[in-house]
Parts: sequence; C-alpha cells; structure tokens
Amino acid sequence: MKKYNDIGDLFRDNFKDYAPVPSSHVWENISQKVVKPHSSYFKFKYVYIGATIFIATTAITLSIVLQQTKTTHHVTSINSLNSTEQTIHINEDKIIQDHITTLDKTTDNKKLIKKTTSKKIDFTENQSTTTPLVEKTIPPQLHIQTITQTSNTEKEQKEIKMLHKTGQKENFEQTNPEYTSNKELSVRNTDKAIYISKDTTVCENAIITLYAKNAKNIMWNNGQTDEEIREIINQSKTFTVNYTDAYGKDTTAHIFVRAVPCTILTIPTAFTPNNDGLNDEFRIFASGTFSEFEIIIYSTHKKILFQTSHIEQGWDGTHNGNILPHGVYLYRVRYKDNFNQTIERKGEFLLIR
Amino acid sequence: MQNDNKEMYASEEEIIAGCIKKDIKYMELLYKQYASKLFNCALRYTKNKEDAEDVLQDAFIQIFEHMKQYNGKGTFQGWMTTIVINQAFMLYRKNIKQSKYQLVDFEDYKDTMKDTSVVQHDFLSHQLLLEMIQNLPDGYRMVFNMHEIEGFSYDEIAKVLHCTPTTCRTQLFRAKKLLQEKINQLNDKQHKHIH
Repeated sequence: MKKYNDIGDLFRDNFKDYAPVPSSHVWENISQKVVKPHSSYFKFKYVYIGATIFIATTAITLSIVLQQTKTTHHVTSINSLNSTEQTIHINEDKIIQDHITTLDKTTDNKKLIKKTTSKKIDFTENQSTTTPLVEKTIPPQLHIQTITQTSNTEKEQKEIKMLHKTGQKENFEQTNPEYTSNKELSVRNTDKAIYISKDTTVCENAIITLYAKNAKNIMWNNGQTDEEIREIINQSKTFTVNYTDAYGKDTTAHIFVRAVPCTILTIPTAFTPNNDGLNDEFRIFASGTFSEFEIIIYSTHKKILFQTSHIEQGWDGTHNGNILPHGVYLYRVRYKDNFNQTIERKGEFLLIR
Repeated sequence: MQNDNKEMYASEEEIIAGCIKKDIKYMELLYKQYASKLFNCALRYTKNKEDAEDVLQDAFIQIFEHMKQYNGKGTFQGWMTTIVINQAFMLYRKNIKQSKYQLVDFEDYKDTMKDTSVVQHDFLSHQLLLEMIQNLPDGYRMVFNMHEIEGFSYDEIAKVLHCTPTTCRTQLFRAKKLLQEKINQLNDKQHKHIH
C-alpha cells in the first residue's frame, strides 16, 4: 500500500517498467510491408515511375472530361427548368376578358383575334395556381358561318374567336354553355373546344387547380370526376385524365406538375473563425421567401450557445466571450415558407481552429 | 530465438545505420529491443489491444521509412514514442470522423477539486490501471497520457489537439477526477470484500 499525492504519479510509476508483449503477427505484418515493396521498387524503378506517370495523366484527362460532361449536363438541366417555369402563363378568365374587351371595341364580327401566349406570372405569387388552358382536339371542320351581334349588355352573348396559329389556321369558337339567346346569333357548330391543363411547375406545397373543361365522362386518376380538381403539390407528379372528346372518342391526357423548392437554404458544414476574412462566421444563406426565421446553435451537450432570428447574423464561434474549441456543433433552423408551413431543419457543422 | 541472434548484438548507432540501409536483420533487432516499450505507450493511447497493435505496426513502418530523419536530438526512444503517439492520434481522428461527434468542453471549468491524492493497494495491477485509462473518453485519455506520463506541456498538447490550453487543463482535471473516483470505488469494494 502506497499513498500518492497526485494520481498522475501513480500511473507514471506503474507504467515506467510495464513491458507488455505485442502479438507475433505484428512483426510479420511489419516485415512484409517494409521489405517487399522496397526491393521490387528498386528493381523496377523506372517501370514504376513510367506507370505512375501514365496513370496520373490518364486520371487527369479523365477527370477533366468528367467535369466537362458534368457542367454541360448541369447547364442543360437549368435550361430545361427555366423553360418549364415559363410555361406558367395565364388563367383562363384573363384570356376571355381580353377577348371580350377586344370584341367590344370591334364592330366587325368576323375579325379574328390573334393571341399571344407567353405572359409570365411571378413565380412566387403563384399560390393558388390556375394553370393555363390549352386547346386540344379542335375539330378541323369548324368554321364560323355568320355571327351577328346585336347587344353588348350581357357577356354571355359574346363570342370568342381565335386564330389557331398552327395547322390550317382553323377558326373555332368558344361559347358559354348557358347560351340561350334568342337574338340573332347564328353559330352553327355547338361543339366546344376542350381545355386541358398544361404541364407546369409550381412551388412545393402549392395548391394547384387542374382543368379538363368542356370534356365529357371525365375521370381523373385520383378518382374525381369533376371538370376542376384542386390538389396540394408536395412533390412532382403526373396527373392522368380520361375523357370523351368531341367525336365521342375516349382520350387520355397526361399533365405533369413539377414541384420545386421555393425557399432554398444553403447551410455550410464548417467554418474557420481565425479572422482571415474567409468563413469567419457560421451563417446561413437563403433564397426565396420565408418568414419567422430562427436559428439555434447547440454544443454536443445540448447547451444553447447562440440564438438569433436574423438570417444576416452569423456566429463567430464564441460563447459569453469565451473562444470555443475545435469540434462539432449542432444547429436547428426553423422558418415558415411562403405557404405559412413551419419547416424545421437540423444538422451539424464543424468549427475548425 | 535468442540463440539465433546471439551474434546479432549491435549498438544503437549500428542499428540505426542498418535500418537506413533497409537491412531486415537490423530492423528485427530494433523491433525486439523496443516493441514492448512502444507497445506500452500504444496501449495507453488506444481503447483496446487490437487498436494498439495496429498503431504499433503503423508506427514501426513509419519509423523504418523515416529513419534518415532522426537527427540525434533527444533520445532515440523518445523520437520513436512521438511517432507512436502521432499514429495514435491519426486513429483517434479517424474515429472522430466515423462517430462525427467529438467530446468537447467549452465551459469555464471552475475546478473545486484540488485533492488528487490516491492510495494504491496491491490489488491494483497494471492490467486494471490500463483498463481504466483505456475506458476514459478519447479526449481525456490523450491529454492525461501526454501530460502526466509523457510530460508534455499544455501548450504542446493544445497544438496537437487543436484546442486551447485551458481546455486541455480542464480535460486533464476531469480525467483525473474520473480515475480517482474509479480507484476509490475499487478500494471501497476491496475493503468490503475483506471484512
């Protein structure tokens, strides 16, 4: 029995003469690794050097080629995204109103109205998205014969004529279903153009309204049979609608709705608070619209080190004026996206000193 | 084994020169002379025997590769010990990457524990003491070994561990407290057992 004033002395004394014997395979491994590669290395020195140079050059060229393909792929994907974004155009009411006003002004009933279809609505304002209507299955024989308009009092009595840009430039018309005018409107073809929603891109969690207007025997793939369906888009998906067209033929249309995140947070995985002007603060970068932002930074012992509701405010790696050491720290971020849904993200990052 | 190497007795300089020439006989001689001493060190810096053997193996490969760089400053054993410690640190860092969480202390440790005295009874063998060190949290074990047994200063440890000297001191005190508690517990148990 021996008393030590400091526990360190006990361990130092005890381990001074401690001589454990490692397993015999340790030396076997060492001798294999140390000797063999070196002897062969000297024999085939130049072969080795040549081979390494060859491998290195091929690796470099390969990586360059790979990088190039990667970047081009990236660019094309961005382009395709942009083009789909631009396909969010106009809702139907707008189109009709446009034409009505033009009709009001004109006295010539046979005047054809040209329409451009590339208006763009701001992406983020697109909360209750009404998708554009597309003309499908236009009967080729449709011709307007006589149109006489005698009264402007009721909007139902208006006719809308459109010049279809492609094909044979058929004229077709859209009339109100409740059209019961006894006035001298003589529209001979009562078939209505069928409008199906077009493929579109929306923010995640947006509510979207899809149409299959004027079609008969509608059956959506979610079981609904209405002309209009409203759906919350959590992720990209394809809607399928079966309907009977103007000729009584059963048709299927596919509508692809792409969901993209509209609030993108970029959270770094490490930072270096050494006052060199580079990554001295842990800061989150965000694009898109959001509100009620909040970030909390914890230690691994779940102690709160930093808390703020301003996204511009970064953390400099101190707590109550004390410089914190190198290591892993945790964060929790909460915010409300543009549909007022609370989103929480957790993770970890490295403080490098 | 000893009979085989009877004629192979060499001084430290001869061994070093032989190892630089990559002579396997001198390498084996070096290994036999220092393996157990360095294994003692490797055991203390790792969690178990398997890890320690890995560290020892890698350290010897490093020693043989970089034998030329030994410039005669300090003892030869000390130089080899630092290589073993470095290898242990590499393993420690690899473990950090795998587990992702490192044990860090950021609070100002208001140390109330001044008394670090302890009584060693006969039953406290090398094996028991070694197990105590090996069961310490990684960070504590590193600091305790480096400061208490190898005798590095806080500043030197801080450089290696990438932390502040204050943190090192804090971790050392905690390590000591843990060890003291453990030894006192064992002492009490032994005491009850006897009576």
